[in-house]
Formats: sequence, C-alpha cells, structure tokens
Amino acid sequence: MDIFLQILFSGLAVGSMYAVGAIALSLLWGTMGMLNLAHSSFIALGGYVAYLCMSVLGASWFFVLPLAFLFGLVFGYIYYHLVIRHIYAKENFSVNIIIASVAIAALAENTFLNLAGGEALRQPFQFTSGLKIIGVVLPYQTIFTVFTAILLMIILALIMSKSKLGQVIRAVSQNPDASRLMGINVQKSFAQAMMLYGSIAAITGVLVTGSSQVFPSVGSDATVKALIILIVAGLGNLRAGILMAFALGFLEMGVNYLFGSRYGFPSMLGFVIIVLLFKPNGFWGKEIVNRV
Amino acid sequence: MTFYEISILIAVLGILAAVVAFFWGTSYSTKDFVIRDNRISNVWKDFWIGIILLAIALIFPAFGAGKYLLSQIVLFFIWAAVVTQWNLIFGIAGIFTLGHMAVFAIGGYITAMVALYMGWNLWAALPVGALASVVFSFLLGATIIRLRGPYIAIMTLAIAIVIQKLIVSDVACFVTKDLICYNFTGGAKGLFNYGNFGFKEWLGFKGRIYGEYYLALILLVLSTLFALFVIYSPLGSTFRSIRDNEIAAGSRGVNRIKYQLIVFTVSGIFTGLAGGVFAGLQTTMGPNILSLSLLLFLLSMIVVGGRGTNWGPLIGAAALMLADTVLRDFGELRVAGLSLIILLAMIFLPNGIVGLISNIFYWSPDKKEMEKRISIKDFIKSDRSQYLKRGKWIKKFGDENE
Repeated sequence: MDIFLQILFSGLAVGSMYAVGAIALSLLWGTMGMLNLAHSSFIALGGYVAYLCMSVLGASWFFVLPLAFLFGLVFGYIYYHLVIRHIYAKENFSVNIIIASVAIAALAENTFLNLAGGEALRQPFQFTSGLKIIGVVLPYQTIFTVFTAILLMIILALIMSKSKLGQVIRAVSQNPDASRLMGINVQKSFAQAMMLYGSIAAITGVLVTGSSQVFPSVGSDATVKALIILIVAGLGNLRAGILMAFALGFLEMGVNYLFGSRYGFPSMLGFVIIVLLFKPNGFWGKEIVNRV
Repeated sequence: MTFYEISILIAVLGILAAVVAFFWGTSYSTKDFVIRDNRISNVWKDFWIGIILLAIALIFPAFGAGKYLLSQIVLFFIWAAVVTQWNLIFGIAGIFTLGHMAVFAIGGYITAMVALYMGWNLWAALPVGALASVVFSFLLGATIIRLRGPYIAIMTLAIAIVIQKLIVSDVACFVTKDLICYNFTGGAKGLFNYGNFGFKEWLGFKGRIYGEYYLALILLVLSTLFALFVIYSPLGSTFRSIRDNEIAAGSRGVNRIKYQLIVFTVSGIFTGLAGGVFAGLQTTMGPNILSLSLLLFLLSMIVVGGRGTNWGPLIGAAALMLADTVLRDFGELRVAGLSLIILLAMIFLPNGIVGLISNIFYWSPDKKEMEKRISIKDFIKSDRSQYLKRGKWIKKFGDENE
C-alpha cells in the first residue's frame, strides 16, 4: 500500500509537471502550429527569475510570480520578433521551427550556464513541508502545482473563448489571410499569443523548479516528454493532453519503482510509439488533411 | 602551426569548394516546376566537382599540414560522411528525422563492443557495426512510419534522448577484466581499450595521422558516391516525388511506407560505417555522441549548407568545422555561437550556402523587378519564354497551370 501511494504521489508530481508544460505548448500549437522545443528555456527562465528575486535580491516571495510573468512576456515578445516571425514567413514552418527552437534552447542553456554557472541552485519559491497520508508524504508543492495547472487551464480557456484577445488569436489561427482582410494585425496577434505563452511558461517554470532545483538544462526532459504526451493525446486537444500527462506520469513512476529508474522514460516512449503506430494522430486527435 | 594558419588553410579549402560550386551551379532542386532535361549535364557537373575536391583532398597532406589540422580534417571527413547520409533522409526524402546521430552512435558502439567483448579486429568489426546501424535505422524508420512532419522530428529526437539516457544510466558490471568493471555500454564514461586500426604499427608514430586521414577520406568518398548514386537513381526521384507532393506521388503508385523504410535503411549503411571509423580513430566511444550540442552541430551543417542539395552537406560541414575551430577559442560561448549560426542561416539563408551560390549564379538585373510582380497573371502576360529558359528561379512565380 505504501508503494502504491508512493507511486501515486510521485506520479501526480511529474504528471502535474508535464501537464503545465502541455498547457503552454498546446496554446502555441493551437495558434501557430508550432511545437516549441525552446519551452525548456522558459522553464529555466522562470526558475532563475525566482532565484534572482528571492535569493539574490532578497525580495519577498510575493514578487516572484509577477516578475516571472513580466520576464516571460518580454522574452516571448523578443522570441517572436527575432526568430519566429521570419521563419513563419517561409515554407515548411512547422518543421523549421523545431530546428530553430532546438537552437534557441541550446542558446538559452548556454547563456544561463555562463550567467549563473552550471551548478544546481536551490529555488527558494517552494513549500518545504508536505501532507502526510499513511506514512507517505505528499508535498504541498505537488498539490499546489496540480491546482495551478487546473487554474491555468481554466484561465486560458476563458481568455481564448471570452476575451477579444482570444477571439483574435483564434481567428488568426484559423485563417491568417481572411483575418487580415477583416482588419486584424496578424503579426501583432501572433506576438500577443507568444507573450501569453511566454508568461504562462515562465510561471510554470517557477512551479516546476520548486520541487527540483534550478540548473541550465532543467526543463529539457520535461519539454520533450510534454511534447510526446501532447502528440499521443492528439494535438489540439488540451483536456486529453492533461489527462494523458497524468496517465503517463503514473506509468513512468510505476515503472521507475518496479523496474528501476532507468526504464521510466523508455517505457513511456515505447508506449507512445506503439500507440502512434495504430493511431498516428494520437488518441483524440483530429486527422490532418492537406489539400493538394 | 598557429591557429590562424589553420583557419586560413581551412578557409582556403572552403573558398575553393565554394568557387568550384559557383562555376558549376550545383544546386539540383526538383522543386523547380520546369521539367529539367539537363540531368545528364548535372551528373557531369557533379563528377567534375567531385574530382576537383578529391584531388585537393588527396594532395593536401603533402603541403606539410600539422597534426592538429589533419586531425580536424579527419573529423570533418567523418561528419561530412554522416551529414551526406542524413541529407538523404532529411533533404532528399523530406523526412525530418533528428535521430540520425543515434544511428551513428549505434554503429560506433556496436563496432567498439564487438571488438571489446569478442576480441575481434576493429577492421572486422566495422561491417558488423554498419549492419547494426542498418537494422537500427530500419527500426527507427518503422517506428515513425505513420507520422508526419513535426511529429517525426519530436519522436526521433525523443528516441535519441532515450538511447543516451539508457547508456548514461548503465551502471551494472557486464565483464570484469583486471579488476576494472566494464559496463555493457560503457556507461557515462564510455567504451575504451578496444584497440585501433593499427596505423601506429603499420605506418609508424609519425605516419599514423596520414593513415587516419586517408581512411576517413575513403569513407567520405564512398559515402558521397553512394549518396550521389542514390540521388541520381530512380530511387532518388521517388524520394523527391514523395517529398514534393506525397499525394501526387501516391496517385502514381508510389508506396510511401515502402520508400520511407528504404531511405532509412539505405542511409544507415554509411552512417554506421562512419560511426565505426569514428570509434576506431577516437579510440573512445562515449554517450556525448548523442548530446544535443553535437546534434545541433551536424544539423546546422545540413541547414547551413543547403538541405536537399548534392554538395550542400559537404559545404556546410566545411563551413561549420571552420566556425567551430574559430569558436573553440571562445570556449564557453561555442554552443551559443553554433546556435546563432543555425538561427541566422535559417532566417537569412533558407536554402543554405548552395542556395545562395545558385542565387548569385542565376542573378540577373531584372530579377528584382520580377519579384515585385506578385500577380501570376502579370507574369503570364509578360514574355514568358525568356524566363522559362532560366528554369532555376521560375519557381518563384509558379507553374503555368496554376
């Protein structure tokens, strides 16, 4: 029973980590059709901002999330205007942006390495204690991350469905040319989507690094895992993605506990490969039909 | 030899390659809508480019280049051989795999492991490694058989990462020799003590580097010949037809799944051999082969050189090795510099250096004006015939049936 609870709780912890990644990444897929491998740099950005705010500047925890929000906003804007915009204008965007975002991830990792050093830093924005259930500790950080994931998903859904910004982003993602004819500034709305993404990603970075430590390549594994989770759930279906994040989190942790921690990620990937052999668009994905 | 002499020498090599490519117009892109009847002349162009480059490479050590420079060029030959094969999948067949370094690593690892555990000579272990690579490459192709574009990139990257993680986390003792515990895959510290190609005994301590140089050169020549053979064969046309328009190719009876598996298998051969040669020349094989920065380094060779072109990967490999030699002085900023190069190439040179060269080659004064005319109707009204002759940039304005 202890082992079962342990698997459940740690599965919940990694599942929530993948879920918050999936939320931000699926926003980008929904708007521009890009799979952003540079997500790891936004996670690291959030972690380092939290470290900078509390450990270096000695400010209150109160400022961490607003500051991460701000940094994510700014770097999302910069990322869009320096890189994505130019690649979007050329053909084969969905693949080229993967290469470009791998480069961005390496660039960001190298920058963090040079600025903050390679050693793992303790990220101060975290809950130290946990809830004790039958001798097994469920950290408050995990509960907090799960609830934040659900909250972020609701907020994002509200923004996308109710606000003018969301309407514009959806219109542009459906048909950029038609929305330009309706007087929408396509570049601006993409930049706004990117800023929204950046701020969400940086905030999730603060949460995710709270349970581990901060180092330059902190988010890279979680990014790849979140991406394959989105793919296996079906891109564009966020609720299925979050469900899948927790399911695969449990699978990974279960295998980790039963067969040793080497086999968690490989078994997860094997599961995903087998699913994709039979359902190439994922469990709940729509088939993409290209017109000739 | 000082660092600057080395840079100048490599630069001269690169410039020579660029000049040759410039005069012969290497870009062979079937994205052009105009049917090309000059395929035979393209073969001859490639033949002469190859002969000139080969001649330069053959006599290069005679100029008394230093050992460091030669070892850098050996590395360049190996990377060029790998990216030429990667380009078959990535550029010619248009399947955006990021797992090719895993194929390379499997070749190197299997070669080293066969030599280490079974006591084989490294020369005999080379084909075994190549075979393992072919099998792995086939399996890699089979796992993503039903996926498209970006999905393929993510899945193959994940597979490469998983293989690296499995190797790094391997801590169990497989054999114990002389109180040293060997992990099956070498673990984080890698495989070593599996012998070498025996150039030291054969050519002496000083001549060893020449043996390595010519071995790597033979590998590159064979690999390039093989790639060109595939590109010009009907197989290459099939790959390009799938890349350019899958549905049209399917309606002509091209079985995508079959040819996707074929291209993965075919490109595995020389990638595996390159892996084995790399393992033999480096005499250690570690998991850093699968690191993200090396993946980025080789990927940027294809992107910078020009994907889907015959000589693009080679030129890209030369350019990137030169850039890497320069960046090595800056140590910590090396990866950042590489990332910037790949980003700048993607933004400003979408068709790579080869595309740039062919743009210069086919530049004409009224091209700028032509580009302003967005409407195809305008274009059709204008005197088409004179533009049709220059089939190279007709693609900018579209097909006549469009």
